[in-house]
Amino acid sequence: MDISKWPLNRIMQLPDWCFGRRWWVGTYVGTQADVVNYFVIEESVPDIFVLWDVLIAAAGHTAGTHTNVTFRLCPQVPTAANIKTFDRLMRNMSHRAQMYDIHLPPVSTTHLGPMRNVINAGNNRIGGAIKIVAETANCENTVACLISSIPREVPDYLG
Amino acid sequence: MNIEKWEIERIMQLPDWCFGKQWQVSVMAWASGGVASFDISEDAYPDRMVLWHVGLWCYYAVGADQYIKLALGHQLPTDDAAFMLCEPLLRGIGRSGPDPRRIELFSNAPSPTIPLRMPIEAQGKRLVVEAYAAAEKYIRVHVITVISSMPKEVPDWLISGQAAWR
Repeated sequence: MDISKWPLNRIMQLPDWCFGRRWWVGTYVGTQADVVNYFVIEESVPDIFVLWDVLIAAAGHTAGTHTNVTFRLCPQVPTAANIKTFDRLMRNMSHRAQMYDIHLPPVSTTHLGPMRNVINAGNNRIGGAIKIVAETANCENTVACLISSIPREVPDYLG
Repeated sequence: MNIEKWEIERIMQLPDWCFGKQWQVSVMAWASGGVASFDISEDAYPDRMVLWHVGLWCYYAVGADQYIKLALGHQLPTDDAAFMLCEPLLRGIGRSGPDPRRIELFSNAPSPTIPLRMPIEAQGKRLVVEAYAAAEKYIRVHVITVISSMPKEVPDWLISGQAAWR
């Protein structure tokens, strides 16, 4: 059955397995200590996709530091001048006045999911910025998003 | 099939996927110097919702004497008395005794998200947090809730009895 004309809310009421393959898109961020490190995930994402999980793996941080992260929908690596002009990947995660969405303890591997969030990326990719605040040594980090596309066909009996 | 008139207990027996999209609403707060601080989420919750997960990340916590409380409210509280007039978000996981909402924070370990499946009549309220750290301490806390709205429609086949073999 073709469901490409179903409203998104109805599609999102389909069982998880109807969304098929899920895959990670992510990037290594070899951050410089105590500075803002901007990134973009090279792999493109569907125009509209389901976000099932977000992974932030921050390694090598020392006590007294913390990790600030923001995810944005942007066409290329954001800069200090333009990052606030790009939409957040996840709404409601922070106040508009704040650049960062996520504030984490040092040395953490954090999953923000599971979730079932619909993201309208348009022609953008997933980018953002990460800063290990008050760190004195360079650190190695990974950020990644577990995504799937939106189904266009399902078995007739699900209609 | 329209299920708007179903009782909440019956709706909560539906499979997870019937609840559709799940998204985050979060708050952040930092406290120090023995003074409570407050934050309120930017967006309101749906009138009726399901709370699926709560994630709680704290840093700079050392020893005892730092805690948070979570509630549902329309406005940013200005003090603890105003906060305590707000409806609690979670019941039964705080400290026993005279201040049962208090969730003590003893370390900086990142919390896994706490899985729930809790229906809440939020009536457009927002997530509110109170954070406190004793005079010589400083904490920052990020609380993320993952929620969905309540379904109003489900496929007919789910109710007709044919779902068992699908």
